[in-house]
Amino acid sequence: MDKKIKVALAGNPNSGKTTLFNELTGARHYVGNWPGVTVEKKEGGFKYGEENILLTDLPGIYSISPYTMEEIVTRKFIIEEKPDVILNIVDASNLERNLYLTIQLIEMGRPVVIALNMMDIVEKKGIGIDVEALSKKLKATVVPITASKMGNKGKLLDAVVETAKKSDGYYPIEVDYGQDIENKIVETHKLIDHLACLGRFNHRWLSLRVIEEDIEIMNLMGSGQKAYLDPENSHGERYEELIVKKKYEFINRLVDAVVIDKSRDKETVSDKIDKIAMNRYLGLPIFILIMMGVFAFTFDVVGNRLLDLVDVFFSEILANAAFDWLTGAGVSEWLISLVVEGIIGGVGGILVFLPNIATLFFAISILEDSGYMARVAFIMDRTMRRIGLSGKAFIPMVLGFGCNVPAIMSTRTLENKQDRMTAILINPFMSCSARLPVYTLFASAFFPRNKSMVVFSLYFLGIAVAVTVAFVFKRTFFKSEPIPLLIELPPYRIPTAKGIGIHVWERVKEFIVKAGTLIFAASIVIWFLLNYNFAGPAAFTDSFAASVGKFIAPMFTPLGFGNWRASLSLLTGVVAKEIIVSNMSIAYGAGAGSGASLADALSASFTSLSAYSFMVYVLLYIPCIGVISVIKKETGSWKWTGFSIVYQMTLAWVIAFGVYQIGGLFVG
Amino acid sequence: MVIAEAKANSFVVIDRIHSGRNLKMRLYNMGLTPGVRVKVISSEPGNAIVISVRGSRLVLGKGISEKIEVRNLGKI
Repeated sequence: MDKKIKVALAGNPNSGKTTLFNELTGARHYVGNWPGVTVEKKEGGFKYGEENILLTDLPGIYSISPYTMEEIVTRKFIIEEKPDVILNIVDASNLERNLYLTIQLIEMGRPVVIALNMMDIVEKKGIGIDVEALSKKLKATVVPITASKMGNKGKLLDAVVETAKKSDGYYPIEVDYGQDIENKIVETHKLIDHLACLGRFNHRWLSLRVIEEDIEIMNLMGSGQKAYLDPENSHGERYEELIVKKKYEFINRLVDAVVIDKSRDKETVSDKIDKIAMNRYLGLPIFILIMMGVFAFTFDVVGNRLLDLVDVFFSEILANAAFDWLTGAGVSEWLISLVVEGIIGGVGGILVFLPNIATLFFAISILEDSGYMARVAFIMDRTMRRIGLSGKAFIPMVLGFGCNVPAIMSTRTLENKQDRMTAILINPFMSCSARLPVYTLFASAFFPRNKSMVVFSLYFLGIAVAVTVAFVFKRTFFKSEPIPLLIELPPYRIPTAKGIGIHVWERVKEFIVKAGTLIFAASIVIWFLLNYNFAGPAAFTDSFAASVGKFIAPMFTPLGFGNWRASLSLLTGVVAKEIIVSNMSIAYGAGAGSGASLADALSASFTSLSAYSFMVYVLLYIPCIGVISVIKKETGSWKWTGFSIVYQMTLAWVIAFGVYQIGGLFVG
Repeated sequence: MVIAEAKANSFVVIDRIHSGRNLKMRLYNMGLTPGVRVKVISSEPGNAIVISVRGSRLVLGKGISEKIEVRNLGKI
């Protein structure tokens, strides 16, 4: 084809225009002067596919007003030569100012293609531009480029060619100049429509120029036309200035809509940490290590050392002091026994474990307050899906290690009812801190060298049972597609000492209150039941409690602990799991809850194997009243509450049975 | 394409959400509306993805990420 596509290259100075021109024309361009002026004119012709393109480089300008030579020359070229396409190079890193020229070019009426340059700088700055949206709003194809590299050269030239071919159907966008000026545009058009000398201009553009009293246009019209319009509006503002303002308002809205402030999405410290914490391969091992660390910290490092201290205080110092003082005061024997063996024994036996419990809650608080828990939901999601639950269901399980009551309440975040029910019903298998005293006691007594391992194995067993039961539940009673994960990741925070302090203190306070009331009362009741029967004061083995215990005991013989004291303790454990130990302290009459001598006393009734099977039973059997009531509250159903009691009792019995019988085969 | 197919460290714009009313409203409430820009922070096939939207970070499970239709933002 002989017909050349005439393209005018226009843009701000320093926008990379020269580089682009050179890239497109190669060495084949000629440099001259614009006629009559000292402004340099560059032109180059090249072939693109089937097309011959003539590219004229217009001078770098900021606008098309008739004030400077460069501007006048540009204007003239566009109006007289009527290029097929105006290729407007725009510096993306300076969008607002550059777009001002763009709007003016578009208003002239020739089709515009925008080469959006400096994209590399924009990327580095962390700014993003929605090119498609920009194109749409300007009704002009926008091609992002980096002029020095010209990766998109083909795309750019394709756009130019395509636009050139469709140039007849081009209707430029119209900036809304407001009621006043828009009316004036219509008015003006009517006034000058008949003037032949103005026929070649775009009408709207022309009217705007007349309103502005554009010098060049006014000259063309002849001096007589100046009287046509008032250059100022009713408020004394010049239309010329208003038109500029409106253009910039348009540009502001445009830029708001298409420029992305990536600083919100910029990588934060939290993101950096998450790269590791939620890493596909590292995430899970890291979580397991953290959990192991928590347990080690709670039980070995802090817990047990403090435990010994508290134990000594209660069992020796306080008990002996009370005994001496009361004896010296001439208090009757039974009261001394009540205070020293009953109260100090029962309550002290439990307070001994306060350090362990406080430490556990401390660790859990840190996990929660730091924001790590949300990550845990993500990390465990894949695994949880295998049993039919979402990662969110894992969080109540972790909380259950502290206390099952708040853990079950936290299942409220699960949107799916089936998932929620499952999570609630398996939660008691997550061994709460109240059961810890039992483990610690028995593990110290029977597995002194493998204490941590034994305790850990129980926790692990609890998890295993929870997971298996969840798997079964999700396939039977609570069948449903697991809800896909949708969780916010709050930024990591360093937990404040105050925040943690409050959490831990709340739990510790609760524990102490429980000890001071429930356990205190229970201890007195148990003491009474242990020391009396219908005939009055009695030895333990003949007391009320013993009768009850002996009645239940046969049920536990196949599990290895068919003695009345153990059975009785289990019964009292329904009130609160901690009471199991209190009860044992009193029932074995083991000098005010001292861990050591209680351990000795236990050896008489338990073997290592039966001790372990006992602990398994404690792990799994009926939840305490607190949990039962919360289950009723959260499920809203007596049926399921009753079910949870029955199925747990059954499961506990069966598994403890299995442990004892099968274990018996190995131990011989 | 759906957001599950987007590459890590890319920017997309949400076009539509193909789901029932419940899920749609939950997503809208968390800021995932048509027209909003989203940065995909991490994306592993078959797993949940992590995104940044309106300044906050969200995890979207597979079932959800397959229902959100998006388009890539024009970039070089």
